[in-house]
Amino acid sequence: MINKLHKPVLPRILFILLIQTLLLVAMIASRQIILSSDTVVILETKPIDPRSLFRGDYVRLNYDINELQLDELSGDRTFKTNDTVYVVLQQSGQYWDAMAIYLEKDNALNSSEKKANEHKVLIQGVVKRVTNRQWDRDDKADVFVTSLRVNYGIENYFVPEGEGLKLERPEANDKVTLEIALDDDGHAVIKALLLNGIQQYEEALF
Amino acid sequence: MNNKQFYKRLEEKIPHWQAQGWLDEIASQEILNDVQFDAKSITTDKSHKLSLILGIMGVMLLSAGAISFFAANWQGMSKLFKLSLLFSSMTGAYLAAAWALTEQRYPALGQSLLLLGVLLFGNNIILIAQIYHIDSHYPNGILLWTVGALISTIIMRSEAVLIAASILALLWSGMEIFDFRLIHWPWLIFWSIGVFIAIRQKYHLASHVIILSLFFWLLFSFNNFTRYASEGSIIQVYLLLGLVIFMLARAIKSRQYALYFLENLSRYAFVFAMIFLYVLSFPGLDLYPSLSHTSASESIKAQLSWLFINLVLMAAVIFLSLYHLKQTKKTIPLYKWLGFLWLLILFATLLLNIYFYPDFFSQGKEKYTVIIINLLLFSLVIGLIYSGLVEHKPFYVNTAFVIFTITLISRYFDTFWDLMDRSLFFIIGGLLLMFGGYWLEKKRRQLSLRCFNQQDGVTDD
Repeated sequence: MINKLHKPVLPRILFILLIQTLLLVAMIASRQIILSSDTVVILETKPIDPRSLFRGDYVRLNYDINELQLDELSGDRTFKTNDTVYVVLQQSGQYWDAMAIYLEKDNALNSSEKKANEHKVLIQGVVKRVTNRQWDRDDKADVFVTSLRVNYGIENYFVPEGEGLKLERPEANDKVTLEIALDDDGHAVIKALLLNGIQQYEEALF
Repeated sequence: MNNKQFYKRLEEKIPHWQAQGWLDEIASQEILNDVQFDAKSITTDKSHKLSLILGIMGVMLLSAGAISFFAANWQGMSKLFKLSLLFSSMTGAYLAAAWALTEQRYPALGQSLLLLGVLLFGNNIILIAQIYHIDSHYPNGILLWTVGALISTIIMRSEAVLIAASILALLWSGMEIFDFRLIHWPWLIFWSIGVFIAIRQKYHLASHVIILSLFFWLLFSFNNFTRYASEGSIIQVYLLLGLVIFMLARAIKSRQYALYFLENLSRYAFVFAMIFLYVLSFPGLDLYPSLSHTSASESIKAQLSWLFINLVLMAAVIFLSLYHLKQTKKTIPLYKWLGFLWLLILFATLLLNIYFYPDFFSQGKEKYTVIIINLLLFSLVIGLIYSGLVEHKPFYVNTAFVIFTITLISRYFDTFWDLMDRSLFFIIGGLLLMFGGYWLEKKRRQLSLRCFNQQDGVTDD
């Protein structure tokens, strides 16, 4: 196990340090760039579950745009698990809703839905589940509806220890919403967490 | 035999050799001094290994402590302070490693600190992901950590870090395989880099970890492969794959290249192949290749592709076996030809299992192929013991006894259950197993000792 090389040790270790630091800085920079983006949308959520064993409390966020029904959206029709998708969001009042979904970014950018209205943005996600049937309560039968579970990489939010439960099980009329910053490719980062429209946590640049 | 025993044995033998005129007094003393030096250097090496093990245990504790510290104090720190703390702790570990490794001041401590640096790099990835609420495709975090660890091991030639990198690469691939249901080929690139470094640097412990990681990766991937074919098909392919790796490792080793790595690769591959041969020996598991595709044309296409894979692997084993036989310098001994025949019977049985199951021979039961596989297993035991003895390889002898014992116990429970009165069978079977076990253990020890003595070139005659 012994290092038998006789080359100077310090320059080699400094080189390792430099590369690993650059990798970490790249990781931070990619997030900071998105956080400084002007494109910010507000999404509705239903928080569901807390706690990471070694990362303290966190809130698992379930956005309305996590569950998409294809018959309510325009765009592509065929998807499979682990596909990267681009969802076109449209502002509807204070919040933003999904209106189209595409497999290719260019198709999403050139779509009539995106071109027609400036108050529309792209968010990138990954298909986690494809379901082709749904139980119809009225008819009490299975109906053929394709629905997708899409994750956007913004489903966890780490909060101070002990505060996870408050957000995850809000009072009856409480509403948890998130401000999401987006870059041009549709990468998303949580910018702020709001409870009943009041900012609880904000991600500042440093 | 350890070095002290060897030294003592030499001390006893050398006067006899001197009396025979084979050695003079000066040469005898030189030989004894040399062996004594080896024994001392091994003791020093052991104490060095102990320091390294203690150092690594310390590193693990420190790393766990660092995570707990950050988790407990996370909210009390500003983002900038958190990042400064993360970077400075990693920098501190690396600089301390540089100090300890310079001019080999404290090599064991230096290796431990280098490992600490790599672990803190990983901690930093996890904690930065937390600061920025990063939740996208989390195996990428482990991938980044693996890349950082591999860079460290390439630059510093550290075996401890290579072991950590191999475990991290397997962890990364495991996440992709289990959580995202992928057949994760990119892992093989990392594995190949690890193999290259382990062979080049002649790392022994890392070789074991890297070889084992290949077989764990194959086991992890088993379920995902069954999306494309039945479990029986994959078990057959894994058995053949184990044999290909075994034969390939032996063929390359015969060219005197990467001896330690290839010897162990061949051993693990052999055990891997035997596990799947053993699985195929179970009656009633219905482990025959079948395809669950719906359309007939797809089924034929898929069946042909699995037949092709089977045939390619079989051809590879046959080619490598013939190469191995050709390498034999003198007349090829009978047991090697019998081994080759054993392989041909196995392949015929596997093909029979694919294309004639279940109706052609057995009228709906797999018993013929299972009976042949069991006979092959027991004949293999005899072949292994014989070849292990002739080639002075205790590994084959020991493996043969393990296969025999496990297969015998398995058949004891599954095959004969309904054939005899249960209580009588337990009594007779139990006694037979006890005495059989005693006899086998006695024989195994005798054979192992004989092999070992022949390997050392020391005989009592």
